[in-house]
Amino acid sequence: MKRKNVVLNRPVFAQRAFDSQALTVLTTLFHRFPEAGDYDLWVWQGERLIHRAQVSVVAEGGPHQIHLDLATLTEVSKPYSLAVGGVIGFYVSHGVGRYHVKIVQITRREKVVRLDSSDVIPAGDLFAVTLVRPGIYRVLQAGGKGEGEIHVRLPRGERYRPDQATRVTIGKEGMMEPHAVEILAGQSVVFWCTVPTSLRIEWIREEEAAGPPIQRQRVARDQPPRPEQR
Amino acid sequence: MAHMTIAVSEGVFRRSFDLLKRNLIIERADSMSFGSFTAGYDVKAHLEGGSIDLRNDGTLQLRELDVRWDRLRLTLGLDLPELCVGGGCVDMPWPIPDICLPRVCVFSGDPDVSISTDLAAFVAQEISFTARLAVRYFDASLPLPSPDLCAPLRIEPLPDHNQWRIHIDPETIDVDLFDFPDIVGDLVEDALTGGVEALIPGGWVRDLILAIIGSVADLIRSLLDIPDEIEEWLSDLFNVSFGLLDFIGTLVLDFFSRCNPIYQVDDPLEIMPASNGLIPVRIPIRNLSVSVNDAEMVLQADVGA
Amino acid sequence: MPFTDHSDLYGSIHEDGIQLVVRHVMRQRPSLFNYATALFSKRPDLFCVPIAVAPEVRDADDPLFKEEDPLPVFGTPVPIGLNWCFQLTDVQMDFHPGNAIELPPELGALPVQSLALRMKGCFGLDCPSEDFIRELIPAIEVLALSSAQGLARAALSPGIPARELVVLPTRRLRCFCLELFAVAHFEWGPVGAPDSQWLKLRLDGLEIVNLQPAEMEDLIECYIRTVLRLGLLPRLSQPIGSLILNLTDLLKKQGVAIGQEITLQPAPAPVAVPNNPAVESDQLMAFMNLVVEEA
Repeated sequence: MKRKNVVLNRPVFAQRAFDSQALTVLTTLFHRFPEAGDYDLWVWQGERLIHRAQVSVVAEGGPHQIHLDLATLTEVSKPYSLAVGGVIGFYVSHGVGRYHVKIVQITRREKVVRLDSSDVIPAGDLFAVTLVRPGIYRVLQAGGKGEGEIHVRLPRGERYRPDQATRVTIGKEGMMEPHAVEILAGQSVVFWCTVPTSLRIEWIREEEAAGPPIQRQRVARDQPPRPEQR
Repeated sequence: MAHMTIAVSEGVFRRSFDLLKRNLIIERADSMSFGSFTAGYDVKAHLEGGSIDLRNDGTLQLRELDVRWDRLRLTLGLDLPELCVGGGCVDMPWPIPDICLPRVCVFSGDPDVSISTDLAAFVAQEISFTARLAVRYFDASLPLPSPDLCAPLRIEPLPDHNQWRIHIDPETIDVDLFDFPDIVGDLVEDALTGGVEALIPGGWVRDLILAIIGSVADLIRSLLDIPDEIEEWLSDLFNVSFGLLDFIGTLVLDFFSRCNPIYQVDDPLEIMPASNGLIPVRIPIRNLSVSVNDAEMVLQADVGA
Repeated sequence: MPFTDHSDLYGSIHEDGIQLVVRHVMRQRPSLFNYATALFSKRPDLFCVPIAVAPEVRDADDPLFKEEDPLPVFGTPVPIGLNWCFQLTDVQMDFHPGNAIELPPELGALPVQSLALRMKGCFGLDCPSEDFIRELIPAIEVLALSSAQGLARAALSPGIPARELVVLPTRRLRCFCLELFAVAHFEWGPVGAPDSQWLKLRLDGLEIVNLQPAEMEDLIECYIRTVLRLGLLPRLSQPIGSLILNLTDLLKKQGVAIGQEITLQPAPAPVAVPNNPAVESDQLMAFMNLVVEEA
């Protein structure tokens, strides 16, 4: 039997800090397009421009959401088409690259920068993190405004699904609502930025041990369970 | 009255059978896909023991012939599902559409776990059958059947001359079912669990991944679709899915009934060898028939004109 | 009662079967039963009794007879030989109890465990014709009485070097046949290697009926007995396996593969069986044991 060569996606487990100004694995930046029109899209990895494309936002037809995997982009691509009010989600599936995105609207008269993620997340956009490492994370905003907390813990035998996301709203004066959230490892927190801001989420420390360690279940037999191996 | 009568005692017959059966090798390998897993086997066995009785009703009874497995290798391959984190959607207030998050996956592709264990030490089976003796005439001038199914089983090459051949012709063959003991279930499960766990680094990463996939045991069970004990599932795999019982039965039947006679008589029979450039002297053998009683096998034949 | 009550293996052949075997032997190995001079290969029509031959013998170009030297004519000044032939035919066997062959009184009643044999021995000799002898005499006289042998010899047989045997040309043979009766028995014994086992036919008595003078009858009987005992019968010995149609050959071969030497031995008589081989009820019976030795 041939063994497929699979590689563990290490950054998923190694990363401890997430920054909206430098998109990495486990982060997603969502930009909303409230106006129909033509837009230019640039994507950089570090200093290097790696992708250019056009986005055509149309009044009718077109998808409401597109996901772009920044780690697999080619230099040029066909224009993207999006419905007005729709969203492009920029994320990174693997690797250790750090990316930023710029979107410029082309009107008849001028070019307007709608998004420069190396600077701020504009109002109306969203920034999501999927946190895998258990522990306590601190949420920092640009300009030192407001601070939040995210508690990440391993599931303890309860029914667990990674595809649960929690929404945090960032409002005036950098207020975060809710201020502290608790999620299970592998789940996501979505920050809805109603004001322009940039976000940084950092792992601070492990959570104090609360419940009993995870027990690996064996098939029910008339035997005591084996001791856990670490 | 037949011209010639030859009798072989039960003791000599037993010895003949014993020497013949030593040449029977059961050997086969195959693998098949069941969707979320593949299962394969690579087996080799020989026969030992057993007692053969001649009976007054003209039948032979064979009992307790042991199938000794030299190799009973099982290979299981699990196709692990994608393991991913993230994903899901968030409600947003109107007019903003609900935002759905992309998933990020733990492995770069679908990982496989493959284990291979030799279960030979855990299984033993017996074969029994009732048979009659059948006389077949081999005509060297006729072409061999194509394909020649006996080619891998034949222990003597076919002669280049005609021959009367006496075969043991089993009527029904009973092969014991594969019945794996509990310990085999543990062995296989341990190996699979070890295989899955080997893919995953230790510590909280493993705990998380295990949380995602439930438990390794449950994952394995769901991939293999095992309702009950794993050793019962394994037994079914061998008895039914792999078709090994049928294979063994057919092999035993072909080996004795078709491919290897227990006795053979050349026709014509050479009674004086070639010498000094003169051709050998041969006598034609006709009307060969064989019968069995509880003391001996009796063969009768005529000298042809 | 089972055949193998007192031995591992049993083989028997009825005298009707043996009769057919004898016929096959005579047709496939005619040179055992027919002896003649070289001329007969070109003139098989001259034989006293036509030789019945299996087609395989002709296809293989095997000789129909064993070639022997011509019979010398005594006293001739140069060697002269006559063509001749000797044939054994119509061989018949009758196992105890003898009910097919009536033995002459000289041989007595057929003893138990014996077989009766009847056959014909035919002898043919070229008798040169009167005309031919008269033609030869002048040259012979010269050779016998003078020294001009070279010319005379050349006149006698052109192209043949001196001292070489001259065989007189033959137009036809004069034949006669004698009826022979014999009594024989079978026994086991080695041939060469001391542990080999062969079935051998042993002649006990031979009789030619009413040949005169009696001393001549005795002399011819003695010669034919010697021919049979030293010439024919040793070639007919059978290895022990052939009595059971070589049935155990495969067994032996498979035994070798696992380091076993498997041989056949006659069952001991009278310990295991009263007679071995046994000749009774019109059959020849043999009782054998399988002996296995780990190599």
